[in-house]
Amino acid sequence: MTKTILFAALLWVGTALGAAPVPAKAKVVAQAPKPSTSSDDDEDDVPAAVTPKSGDTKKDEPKKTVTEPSKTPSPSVQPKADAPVAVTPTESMTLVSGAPLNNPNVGVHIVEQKEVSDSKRAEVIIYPLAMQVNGKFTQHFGSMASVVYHLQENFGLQLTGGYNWSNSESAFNGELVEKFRAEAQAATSLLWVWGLLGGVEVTPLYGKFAFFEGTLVHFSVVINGGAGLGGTRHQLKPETVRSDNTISPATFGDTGLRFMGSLGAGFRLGIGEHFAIRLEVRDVVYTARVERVNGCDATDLKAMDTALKMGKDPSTVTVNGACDRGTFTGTYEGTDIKRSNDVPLAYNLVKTPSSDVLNNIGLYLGVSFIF
Amino acid sequence: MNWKTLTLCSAVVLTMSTSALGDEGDAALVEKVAVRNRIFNVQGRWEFGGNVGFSVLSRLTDHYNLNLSGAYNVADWLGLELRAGYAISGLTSLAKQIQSDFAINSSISTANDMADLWQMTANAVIGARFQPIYGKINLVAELPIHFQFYVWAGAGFGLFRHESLALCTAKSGSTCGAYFIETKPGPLVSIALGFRFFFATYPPVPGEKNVGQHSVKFEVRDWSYLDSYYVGVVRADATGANPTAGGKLSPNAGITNLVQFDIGYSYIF
Repeated sequence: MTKTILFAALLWVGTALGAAPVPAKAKVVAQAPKPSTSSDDDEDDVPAAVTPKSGDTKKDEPKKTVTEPSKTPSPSVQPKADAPVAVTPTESMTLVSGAPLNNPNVGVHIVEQKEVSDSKRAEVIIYPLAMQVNGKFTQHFGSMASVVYHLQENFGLQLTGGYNWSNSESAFNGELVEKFRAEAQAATSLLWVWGLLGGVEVTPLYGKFAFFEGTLVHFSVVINGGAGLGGTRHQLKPETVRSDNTISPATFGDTGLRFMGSLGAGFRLGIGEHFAIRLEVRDVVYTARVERVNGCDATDLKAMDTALKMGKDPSTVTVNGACDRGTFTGTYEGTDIKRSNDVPLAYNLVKTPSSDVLNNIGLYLGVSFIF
Repeated sequence: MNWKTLTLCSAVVLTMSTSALGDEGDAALVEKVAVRNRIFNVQGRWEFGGNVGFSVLSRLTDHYNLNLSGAYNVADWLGLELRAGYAISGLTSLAKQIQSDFAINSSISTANDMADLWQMTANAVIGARFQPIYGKINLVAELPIHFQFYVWAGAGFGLFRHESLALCTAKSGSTCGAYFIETKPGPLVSIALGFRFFFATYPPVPGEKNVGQHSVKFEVRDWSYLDSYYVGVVRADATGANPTAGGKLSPNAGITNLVQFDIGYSYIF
């Protein structure tokens, strides 16, 4: 978690430092041509003029500008910081969105002009693959979906839900068990099955890039956060290979609902007016304290374990109302694995309570439809 | 879904995409002018800098990799880079706990070491940086930042150190004073994905070789190297002189992937 925070802080500082210095004057979007200082947005202009090479790169030195005849509607000059510039007649300029396109002296913030506004629009996002990337003791793969209603251009309400169709203990944990007879604490290896979270999404950064100077892509950086509920479970028996080389599947016990919080950031690449591709990293945080398995607490499980050792059916034991005894009787569907084998395993999980705060950091790859 | 439906869907998607990406008068004109005239041209320029990397997911080993780098940009979209440095590495607290727990657990007669215990120390790689994406982003709609997105791939050599979790060379009662340590040189492959953000000492001039440019890099980098470890070591026979008694190298050792988050800076000449 400390590293995650450090990443975020460094990234923020880095992006803040990564800006080209922009004179204050250039921040004003001009509506008419007028002399101004050069700015970061000077690359927005088509240089149709020849700038004499001085060989000296001092930025404070005034520079002569020679304007040559151009095929474009307006001539332009090569801008330089604090350099006097030639002002061309207004009527010879092509006006685009109220600003002269070919005048280099106008600090037009081209990047601010979004192709399509998101305000008052809804966005449905499907993440076919949401993959945990920080799986030390657990590994999750799932599919998620989100609905975002953009209240404003840079702010929306978001509802996210999904299901981890593969959630199990990691191969690393299995190796620990196999070689060292050690494993993570119950709370640390709690598995996240499903979740439903509501929150907000902000779009503080907007930009565009060119691929090989050709295809232009608009994108925005999204940051989202939310809170909600999720279902959890814990692996009881690991998957094993029998002597006849058949697989004995892993077994799991339900460990109940958990309050969850989420914080994420990512990129949203626009494809036309109605589609976008999203790549996000989300950290789903939840508290883990394993006190019950299938609703049964330590007392219930101890009573069932004792009954089993005496050769009795665990379903005959008196337990609390929330305890689902049925999950410990009979056999698993399609197998000959007795559910009662899980009783001592579940009891081991809860007899020494453990707690942890888990961070499930996932990479979410999705497509969205905006309408 | 039959072919007709599929064709229809494809046509709709294609039409919408084309209409959005295609030329649409003035707006498209603006778009093309906006990004193509880059102010941070790197073609034909050298750059030197430094990088610090730290592990994204530390299981048994932890690394802080300090690198110096030099690069030449063959084109705006392609650079060649040499990186060399040293990684401060060690076992994680989890690994140390496993070591001590195993030392006092006499019920396990045969020791099998864990995978992915080699720690990278000195390292040097040369690679190509493919950087075809140049863009700019507005920070809170005011401050434009120019960046490149790149993919990096290369290879080189490294020195590696392995400290066993299970093989003890100085057993003292139920504790172990020292563990089996190996070192080796070996090949190294590295790939990375990242962004680099440009900034300049002076307001840059389009189309000119602006001296005094800087870039700050953020990347996710994977270092891959060959793994090896002993299995089947008879603990009762193992001594300080022969810590691998009865053991052999695992035939399924595979490759260790060390994934790091890397922050770097380079000065562009």
